[in-house]
Amino acid sequence: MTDDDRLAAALDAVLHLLDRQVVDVDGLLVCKVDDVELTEFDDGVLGATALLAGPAALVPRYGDDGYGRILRDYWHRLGGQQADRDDPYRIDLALVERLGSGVELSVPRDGVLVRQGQRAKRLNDLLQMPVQDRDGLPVGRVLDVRLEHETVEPGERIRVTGLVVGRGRPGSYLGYDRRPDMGPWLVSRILRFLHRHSGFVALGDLDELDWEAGVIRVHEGALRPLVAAGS
Amino acid sequence: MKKFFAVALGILTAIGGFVDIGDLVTNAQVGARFGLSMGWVVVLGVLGICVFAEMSGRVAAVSGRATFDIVRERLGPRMGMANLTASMAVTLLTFVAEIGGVALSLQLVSSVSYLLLVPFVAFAVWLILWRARFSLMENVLGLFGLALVVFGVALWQLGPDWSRLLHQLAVVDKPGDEQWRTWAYYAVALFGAALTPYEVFFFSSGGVEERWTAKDIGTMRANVFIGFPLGGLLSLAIAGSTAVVFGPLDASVDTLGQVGLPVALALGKIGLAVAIIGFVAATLGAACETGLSVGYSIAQYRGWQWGKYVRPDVAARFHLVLALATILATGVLLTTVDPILVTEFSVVFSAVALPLTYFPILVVANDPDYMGEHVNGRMANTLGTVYLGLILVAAVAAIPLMVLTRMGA
Repeated sequence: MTDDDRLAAALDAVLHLLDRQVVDVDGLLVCKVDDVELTEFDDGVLGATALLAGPAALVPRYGDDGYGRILRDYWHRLGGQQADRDDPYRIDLALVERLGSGVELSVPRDGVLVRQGQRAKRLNDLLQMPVQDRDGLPVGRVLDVRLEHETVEPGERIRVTGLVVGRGRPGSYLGYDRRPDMGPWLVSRILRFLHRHSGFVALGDLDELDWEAGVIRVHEGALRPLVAAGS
Repeated sequence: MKKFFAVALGILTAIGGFVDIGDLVTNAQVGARFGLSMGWVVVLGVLGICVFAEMSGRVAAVSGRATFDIVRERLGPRMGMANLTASMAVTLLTFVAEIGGVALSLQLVSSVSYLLLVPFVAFAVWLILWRARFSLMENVLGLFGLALVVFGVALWQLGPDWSRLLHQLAVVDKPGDEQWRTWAYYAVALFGAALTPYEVFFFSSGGVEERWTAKDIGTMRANVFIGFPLGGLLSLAIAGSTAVVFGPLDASVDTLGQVGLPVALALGKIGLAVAIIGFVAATLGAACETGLSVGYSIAQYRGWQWGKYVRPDVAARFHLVLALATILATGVLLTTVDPILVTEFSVVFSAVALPLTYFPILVVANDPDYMGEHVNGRMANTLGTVYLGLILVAAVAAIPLMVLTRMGA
């Protein structure tokens, strides 16, 4: 295991944070990172502020169509009287001691999960969002969101620096598109071929990020070659 | 010296715990019909489980994450759920077969119908899962499983034509009265019996239970690379002894009693008693392992606390899953479905479900983010890629072959 804290440097939210196990200070298991809360800070910077957990965060990730919708309908019907049915649990990123193969908290797990209370933006709202060029032609979909730790007064925060954009073919969570040195050779070749159109778009190069319509517009040349986070 | 004993104990339990109901039944059936001509599949399967278990054990030791943590992280919740559903269906099927196997073994001793024994066996399994310490469960059942060495002794006592047996092992051929597609069906079944997915769920989660760290990789490898192949020899001994007894008779093996028959012929009552102890220990051990695997996997997918290293009330949902799985398995067996038939289905579907968990483990074992310096070397990756191909072929071929041959009829 690499000893350093992933959250202290650059990371890819899906590849390095999403779906990881959350472990408390005593080594007891808490939950999975079912989603990540995104917040627009006062200075307009988009950042990651908390981990979201529980079915209310997980169920929407099964998708809006087909089985995903059926699952969501069932989930609602199981407890229609509950007002907080869609309100996920939240763990503030300030409570995270270290991000390794799991998310290690600095506190015991008793009472650590509190309801989020209000609907905020989520990583999942951004994932799979279509990306278009100025003529409305598709460039791809958002596959991952790159985050970076930064220190600004009065404290530290994790900001979004850019998006990994690709055609959304199978295997985008495996990381081969960003790590050409990863073996085995044959698997790496096949997956990198499938993801040969993937690229990186810096947040500053976006023309428009329309949360309501769920579409991102970029200008020509915004898609840059994809390299591993932090390199 | 203490370290030596720990390693030796690990190897012994790996041998004794290697054989389960799937290996017992499939090897005996294949031995009776094909002699030792399918020994190469056992060799291939054992090497495969070594490659797979070593990778998942190493991932568990270095990162502290077990199989379904990895599956969820690498495949996401949607694919992960499809994977979990398929893997749990197969593991539950195996769980049913193992509990049935324990009851059938006890029927051999008591002459009480296995159906009457099933609820008691299931209760005992649940009690072990709930109360027994992990290491105690592993060691006691693993060591008693070593009683199956009696099949090796029986084979030697039966005094077979060794040169003919070894010749069967060495060449790829089949008896003249069998068709090639039946041959292929049993090859896939035998491969699935040796490479059952639950073995890896259990092995990697067990590594986390026993708090392995990168320092334990050496011990883990000794267990895998010495214990599993010696366990595979037990499989070959079972196939060899049924080959000697049933081969000339053109009879097939359809009950657990027939699996034990060569031992009774060669060694009499005492031998049979030892074999039955081996049957009970092997199937009971595997019943505990499959039951735990269901709980481990579901809890790992959802992020619940799991494991026997904490008190049951700390891992309440995990223990609820264990109890429900045991009740479900009991219910299935009490429909009077033939446990041997369930076993035959479970080994074939094991072959189908195998790529689902093998592939994510292969990927993560290569990921320096998780593994640091312990990523797969060239050897592990060459074998890993070869087996990825083999496992995919077996998975695709399994169901068509099952339909074409009417389950090897």
